Amino acid sequence: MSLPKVLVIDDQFGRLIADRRNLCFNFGLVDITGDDSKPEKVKDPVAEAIFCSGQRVEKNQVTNDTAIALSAIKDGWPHQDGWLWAMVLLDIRFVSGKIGKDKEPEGQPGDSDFGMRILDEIQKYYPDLPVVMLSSRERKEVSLEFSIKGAQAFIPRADEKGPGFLKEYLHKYGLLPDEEGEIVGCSKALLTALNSIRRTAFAGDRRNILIRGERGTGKELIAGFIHRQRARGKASPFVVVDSSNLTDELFASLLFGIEPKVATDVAARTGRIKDADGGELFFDEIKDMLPQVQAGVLRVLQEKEITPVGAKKPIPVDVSFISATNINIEALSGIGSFRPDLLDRLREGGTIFLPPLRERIEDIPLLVEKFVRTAEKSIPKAKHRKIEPEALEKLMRYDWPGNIRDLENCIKNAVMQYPDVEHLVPLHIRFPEGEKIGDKSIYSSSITVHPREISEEYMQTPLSAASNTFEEKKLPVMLTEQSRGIVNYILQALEIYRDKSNDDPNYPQTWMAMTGDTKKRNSSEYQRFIGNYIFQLPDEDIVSLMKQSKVFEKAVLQCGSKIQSAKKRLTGIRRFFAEDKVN
Amino acid sequence: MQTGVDINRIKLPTQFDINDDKWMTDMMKISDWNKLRAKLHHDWLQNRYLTFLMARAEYMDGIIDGRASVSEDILEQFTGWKDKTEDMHKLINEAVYALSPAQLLDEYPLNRMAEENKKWLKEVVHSLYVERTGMKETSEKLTEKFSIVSELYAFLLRILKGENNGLRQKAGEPPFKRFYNEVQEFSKVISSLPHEVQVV
Repeated sequence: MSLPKVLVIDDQFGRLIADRRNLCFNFGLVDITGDDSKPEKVKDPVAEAIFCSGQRVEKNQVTNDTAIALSAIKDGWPHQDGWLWAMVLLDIRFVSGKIGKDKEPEGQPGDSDFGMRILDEIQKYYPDLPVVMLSSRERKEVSLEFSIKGAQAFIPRADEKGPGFLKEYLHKYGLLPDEEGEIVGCSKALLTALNSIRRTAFAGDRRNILIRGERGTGKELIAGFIHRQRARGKASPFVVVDSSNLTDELFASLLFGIEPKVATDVAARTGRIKDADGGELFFDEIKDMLPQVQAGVLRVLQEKEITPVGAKKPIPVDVSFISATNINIEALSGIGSFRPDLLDRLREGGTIFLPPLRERIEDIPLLVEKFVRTAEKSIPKAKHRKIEPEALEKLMRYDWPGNIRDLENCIKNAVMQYPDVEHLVPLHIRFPEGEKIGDKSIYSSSITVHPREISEEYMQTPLSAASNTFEEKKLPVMLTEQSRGIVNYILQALEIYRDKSNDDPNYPQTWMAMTGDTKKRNSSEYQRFIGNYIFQLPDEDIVSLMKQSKVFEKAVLQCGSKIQSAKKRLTGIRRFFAEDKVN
Repeated sequence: MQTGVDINRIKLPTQFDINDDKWMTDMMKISDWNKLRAKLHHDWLQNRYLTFLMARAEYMDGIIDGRASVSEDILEQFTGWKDKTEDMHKLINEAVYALSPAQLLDEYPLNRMAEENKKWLKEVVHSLYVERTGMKETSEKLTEKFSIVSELYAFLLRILKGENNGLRQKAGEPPFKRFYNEVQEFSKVISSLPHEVQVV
């Protein structure tokens, strides 16, 4: 695996080559800046480093310049070759001014904390980029400031423990791919998700985690990654349970086990939860969990013990639950189809949002490489083939509604259909949904909207109680059936909301009839509720609907701001919508 | 090779003679002292010299054991100590006065005091400060650490220059690593000094 790349922003080590070699030697950094003809040869390298002084040197004057530092960051965020900075190492004191007799700048006011100004700018423009301070300043003098400004940690540069800290922090905070290669990709979206998992694992956090992502995004692989990170090489169980297999009749015996001699024709068995004792249990597709099962699982989470069928006493268990879903389970919980108290327990350690493949297309070449080689091995006598750039281009232009799973199948089919060739070319590629190569521009007049995965119950929630007077009901003509279902729901909700705004005395009754929710909501809660529906739609649909309806436009802007996870998307949607209007 | 300042001839402060009142007028301002400290201690000693020693001490110990010759660039970085000796001496010598609250009597509003009052008050304030803050001990420790480093530096330089009269055997094991540790200790004492005038 290639070394992670770090950007070192430091005045002296950015400019002074001999000193930089010493630093590289100490910290195991391979200098790839390109301005040293004899860069230090490092024995056990931990990262590749590019150095940037964050300064302009003109004649005899050195000037500190945040723009130079930001420009260096931009070069690798992400880089056109597919890599991005794993981390920035940032100095604090940057000495500037007129160059004196000792060939060093004389120093100016503001030099001693110029690094903090760079840190401010990084937080402003690159908030996802991990920054660790690398300085000779006394830690206690700067600790509060760098914490406030969002740095992850501090490495004392002249301390022998410094290199050890760098290794640790790179692993803990760096944007690094999966070291075991099971999860393929180096896109920012993926690496950010892996990083958040490493951090919690490093902190010894074994609380339950919820994974959200569309079908085929690799939720089970991520669950396995969480398990590996937590286990840190030690043996511990990882048990997978498909929630749709848990029927009312069987779930107790399957999850909790059966005591010996319960009945003559029933064999004793250990439950899956006991199997996972000391490790992780992965509940796939929790949206399929039946109400009685939900109640049973909630009891386990609360009591941390199970009672096998036929047992008289409960037995304690130490299990961390990782659960996954491909829908907005919060919205489902809001309308009573999933127990909110169970959801709270299942996500007490946080929610990981897995990006769909269309949001990490830069990972497609790596994934294709892996899938092609795997397919060649699995298909007898299949030839080793070169992946032609045109084929990759075709694959990268598709929207992949079925995500990685569909990509894998597509590649396997290509190799299976053409086992005796040495090249993977566009002709070999057949997309699962036909030749609908998505024009990724959302300005396209023929927007390709793929079905979202919404559970049947969710789709069939009664809408009949709501009035039929909303003038924009016929809007979503360009949407698929499933998306239309969500949009109808949104329109109904908006209609009630509009009535509520007019102080409709029937509001609570209308609301309850539609949702079964008996809680009277305030304006903010209501907006969050509607937003949970809206932001299940892809950006393309949202923008398309905004173009057609002023009510919808207003709802997107108001409701989106109430939902933490939607805020980032809202910025892009606003921009696209505004640009589209101008165009 | 240029020899620059002979470190053995530098007079280091060993005691504070308040009867010699020259210090009262020649006192280095805290702002100037801090500037010198930043440039000398942070920018050079910590950032550059200690980074160099951390990287190369083991290599240099290997060189003297193998009787090979040290490369020019490494030698140049090592002898950087000598170039900074005079400034370092100044930093140490001035610390006790630069950080003294006696400075405040030269600033508004205390500078409006009658000169004769200011003189004796300066003496009193400075004496109290030296006693109460442990500055005397800190300064003596600085001086002691500086002497150790300087002596060891001179000794190692003789070895590097190829003097072969049993010096290597006298040096113990491994001398450059020891030098690095001593420079670190010296740096730690400088770090322990405050950055502001100490009001007691």
